[in-house]
Amino acid sequence: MSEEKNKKRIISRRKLLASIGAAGVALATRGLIQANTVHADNESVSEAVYGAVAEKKKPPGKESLAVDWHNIKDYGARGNGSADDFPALSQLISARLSAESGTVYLPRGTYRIGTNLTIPANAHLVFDNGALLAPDAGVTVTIAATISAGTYRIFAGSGLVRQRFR
Amino acid sequence: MEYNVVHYGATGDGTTDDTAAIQSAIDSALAAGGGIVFFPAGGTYIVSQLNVSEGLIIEGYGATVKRPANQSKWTRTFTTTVAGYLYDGSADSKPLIFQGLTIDGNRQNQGAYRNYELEQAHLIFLMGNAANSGKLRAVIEDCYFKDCVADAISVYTNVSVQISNCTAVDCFRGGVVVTGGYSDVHVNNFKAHGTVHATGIDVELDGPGYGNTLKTDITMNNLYLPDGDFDVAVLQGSTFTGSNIIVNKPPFNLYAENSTVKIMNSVFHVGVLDDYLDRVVSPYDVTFQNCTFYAHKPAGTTGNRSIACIHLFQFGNANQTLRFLDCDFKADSSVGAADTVYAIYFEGDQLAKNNRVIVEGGSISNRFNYGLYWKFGGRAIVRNTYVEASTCFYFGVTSGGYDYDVTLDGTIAKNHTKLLEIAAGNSSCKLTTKNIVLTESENTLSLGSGATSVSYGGGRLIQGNSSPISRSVPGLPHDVFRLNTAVSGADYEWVCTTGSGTAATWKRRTTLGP
Repeated sequence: MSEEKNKKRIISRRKLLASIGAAGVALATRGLIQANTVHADNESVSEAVYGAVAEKKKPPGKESLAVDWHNIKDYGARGNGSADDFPALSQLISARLSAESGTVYLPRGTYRIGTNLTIPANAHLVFDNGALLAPDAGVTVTIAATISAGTYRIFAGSGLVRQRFR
Repeated sequence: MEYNVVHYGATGDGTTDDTAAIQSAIDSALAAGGGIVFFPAGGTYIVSQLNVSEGLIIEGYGATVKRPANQSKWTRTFTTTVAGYLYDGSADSKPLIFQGLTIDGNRQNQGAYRNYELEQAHLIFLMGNAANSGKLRAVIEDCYFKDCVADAISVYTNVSVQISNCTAVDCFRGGVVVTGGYSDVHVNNFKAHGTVHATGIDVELDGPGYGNTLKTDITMNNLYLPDGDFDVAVLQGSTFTGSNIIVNKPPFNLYAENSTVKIMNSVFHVGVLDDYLDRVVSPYDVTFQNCTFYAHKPAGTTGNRSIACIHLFQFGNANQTLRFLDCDFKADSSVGAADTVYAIYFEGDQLAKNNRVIVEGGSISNRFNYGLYWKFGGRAIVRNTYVEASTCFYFGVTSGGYDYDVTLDGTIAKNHTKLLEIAAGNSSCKLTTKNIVLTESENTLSLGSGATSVSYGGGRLIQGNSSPISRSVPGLPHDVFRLNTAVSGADYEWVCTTGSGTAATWKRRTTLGP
């Protein structure tokens, strides 16, 4: 997946959230919108949000583009280095990654993790430059997910990060 | 999986101590059962000590790991010894692999070390727990080691390691140092050198491995030591095999008590006789084949010195065999005209010990004062060797069982001033000559007191133009003197009945018929 396409997706989602208004944002960030996929293509907002038309269309060729892209901040993460972002990440995982694969995007920020957590193998973590996953002392974050990051620090905190593939 | 040390907080900036961050990456990998711990190229990672274990691939092409200043004696840059990391299985481990790293020991900023103050401060230290039968398996390849106050690669007990395509420069105790038993070490394509420290190879087995043994097997091929220091001491049934080894300066030291050493196609430059290091000691089963030994006078050596290519100490051990097959002995340009140079210098050996030295083929150049020099005796066979030393064969004082039993078979001597010098010899001494044909001018002997008691087997054939009777012709008992040109009806051959270095007694043996 090209960087260009990633960017488009993010932008599309932002546009989408703006278009459905404040209440919609609240719902979306709590993960209560049940649509599995937010398509970053030319479908109308209403089609994307409510899915009715999209379900009917389902051209086989389009399914391959239906990759989740979950911004951790959309799930309530603060990334300010002081708030515990465990609940947000945990919720993202249970809501989005229990049944299918997906990409978790961590924008710049320090994400404190206060409780042991496993990020499953069907996730793909994308770290922006300056995004830090920071388990507290005594806490272990186990990452079975694949990681995309440049040559910069992505792990911090006094706890442990354990990468494993299963 | 790949564990990028930068992801874990290493900066690689050459200033910040990255030890904890890199250890986090390593520990993460180990928790997963192993993986690639990746050092991005271009970084200099400051590290005091990292604990490593089986299953890791430490990969750092283009990256440098550097010691901080003033590290303690027991701080090893990479070590396998710490509890929780030390391998202690009953079968051999998964491999621990190092690839592409430069490891800089920051020697200039470590404080005093030249009196071995920091002798344990190695760059990579490998060991397995000697209590168990398994070995730590390791591979070290494409790495560069520099400025270490101890060993670049130090191998202790219960290790199976393959080292290839590595270079070590200015490492105080050596490039590859093997000190533990129950290990096997394989070195290929290795260069060790230095302007401050020759670096070299050091095998010195003193730490018992599993089964309380010091036995370790070592192979070394394509080893280049331009600044010298080849020091291999093995014992207790160890084996060392080597080929294509170039050692351009002393010291050259070999100790092989009850051990097998086979070295082929190699060149050694060997230093002064009274140097403690330039010795061959207790060669239980040692063969050099197609090697060249150069006498070498180290830079800074003052005065006229004695220099020996091989300075042999049998050391009181028995049933040992040292062979030189098709080996050449020369002196390099560092040796002065007034230095005394020996090809092979035998320290005292008792015949009862049944040790033997076999020199087969090869040559000894005209740069030598002495070819083979027996100080107090010993047993040897020299066969088909071309000798041009000033004194080809020297037999020193004998007594108390320190006698000689030497066979010269087919040896060719040229350009010498003295073929044989026998300083003394009693009835236990034996000199056998076979297949030796000389011109009269080549038959130069020097026989001291007691030489007449020596048992002489065989006989040399000396060719001359006139009868040896009534003129001074040296000879050993049983030598045959024969005319170059046979004359019908005239005397043709004589036999030496009493040896002499100047005028031996000759008796007519053959007169040709008409």
